[in-house]
Amino acid sequence: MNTTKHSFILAGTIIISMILWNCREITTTTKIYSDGSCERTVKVKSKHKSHSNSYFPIPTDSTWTITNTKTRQDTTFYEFTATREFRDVKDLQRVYTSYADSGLAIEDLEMKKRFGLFYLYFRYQEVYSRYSPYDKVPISDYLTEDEIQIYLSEQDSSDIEDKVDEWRARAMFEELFQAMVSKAETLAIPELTPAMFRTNKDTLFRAIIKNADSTNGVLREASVILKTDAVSALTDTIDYVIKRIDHDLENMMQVSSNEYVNQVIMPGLLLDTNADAVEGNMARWKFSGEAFEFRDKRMWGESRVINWWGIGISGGLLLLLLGFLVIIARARRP
Amino acid sequence: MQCDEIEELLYLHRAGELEPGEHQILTDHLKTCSACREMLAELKQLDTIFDLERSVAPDLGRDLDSDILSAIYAAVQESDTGSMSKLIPHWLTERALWFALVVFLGILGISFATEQYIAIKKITTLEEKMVDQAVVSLQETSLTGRLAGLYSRYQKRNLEIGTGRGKSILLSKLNSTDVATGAKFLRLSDGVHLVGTERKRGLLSDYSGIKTDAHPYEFVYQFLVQEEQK
Repeated sequence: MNTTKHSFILAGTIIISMILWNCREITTTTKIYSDGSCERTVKVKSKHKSHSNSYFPIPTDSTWTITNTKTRQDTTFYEFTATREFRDVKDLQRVYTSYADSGLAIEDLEMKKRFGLFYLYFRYQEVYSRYSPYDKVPISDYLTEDEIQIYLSEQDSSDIEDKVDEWRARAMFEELFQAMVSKAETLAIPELTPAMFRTNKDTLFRAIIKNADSTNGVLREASVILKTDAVSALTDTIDYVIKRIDHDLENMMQVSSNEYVNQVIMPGLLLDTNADAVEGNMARWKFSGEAFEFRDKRMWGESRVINWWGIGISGGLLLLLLGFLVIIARARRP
Repeated sequence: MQCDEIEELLYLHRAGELEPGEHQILTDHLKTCSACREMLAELKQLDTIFDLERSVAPDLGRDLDSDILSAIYAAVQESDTGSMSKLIPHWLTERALWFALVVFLGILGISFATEQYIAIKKITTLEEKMVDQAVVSLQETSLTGRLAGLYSRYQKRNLEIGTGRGKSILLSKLNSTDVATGAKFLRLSDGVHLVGTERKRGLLSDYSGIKTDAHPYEFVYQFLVQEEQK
């Protein structure tokens, strides 16, 4: 994530965050059984023993079977494993809903069962919701879906990277800008009107992004551009917003710096999936947390198992028909 | 003769079994005995009634036993097939049942074929999609670069192409991307097929010195690197 390029006052925070939170490998494996029940195992490999502040819903309560040991291969890493069985996918969803305030949301877990005459079809879907604290500027204003795809597939494209940086900077600046305008409206000072901000919005953006590295820096740039010292009345507001941006960015870095693997073992034969890889009846998605910044991560798989009930009923009906045929042939014989 | 003796002669007369002498005795007695004449009249009346009944049901009594036996036989037969026949609706004919059987088997067949067709189509598409994802990294100009890309992608995603068909799709895509190095791709194609079995890998291993436990793609990659270096 090249956020440092334009993230004005927060460069230091990003670096600290990266050092603090990098290199978590989170592997989630969900085994779906044909009766609808499932078992989930969450495995986290990191240098930190505790995951209570990981900003990804990692189960740590006693309803899960948990182990937390140092890895054999590299003893500087801890391997945390939590396993639990669930009645059905909705039960799993309920548990994750209770972790909703722990950060990234597992927004939707869904299991659909469809009956065919010879097979039962299962469709499982899991959605990790988009996580971007700066939502005042839509990504679609800067990047097309294809460009996002190219960016996330880590193909070299400096144009697209520049667009991403521009969007991030604009999105963060918008948080600050709207707070300043709102405060100016409240203060109602003739020397500091909201219109002044709106007229000079682009100039403010360029100057703050380029030169400001703290609350004082933002005040300095704003007073120069707006030609008034009245901006000092916004000190508390700017300070508050910058701290909030700082905090949100830290959380986002936690999410983004992790490597995620989601594995779903479907019952029976895997027919279709949007996974990156398939092994037998297991679909696997591997992605960096950066994917969450742009859109929901939607993962699904479809499989089938033999419908023994359908085959039994069909066979029964067939035997019934044949039985009738024999009886009627004998009854109608002269 | 006394009247009670004459009564016996009366019954014999009714049955037509009187001897000629007895007939004369009966005639003489009836001329003088009014009681016996009355008895004769009553008997004649009874005969008239019986004659009338016989005219209405002429065989009643005579064939009673055989009728009963016939009825019992018929009932037995009916309980076997006849009553079942009455239970079955008229429209449920043998032909209708054959038709239903054929339709039912048709539905089963079509359902099975449809489910199989859709499944095979989906699996094939999925297989091609997996191969496409592997080929994305093969936009290198050199053969070894492409193979390295393929192998690293394989390692990175633990991709299992698996079937011979998957390999042939992969190879056709490789072939279509660069005509100039067709000869090399041919060798690659041969190589992939060559190392398809452990026995063949063993043969090639003797020639190249590459370990047979390597993954087939890695084996081909190492083999071609060696060949290019020659």
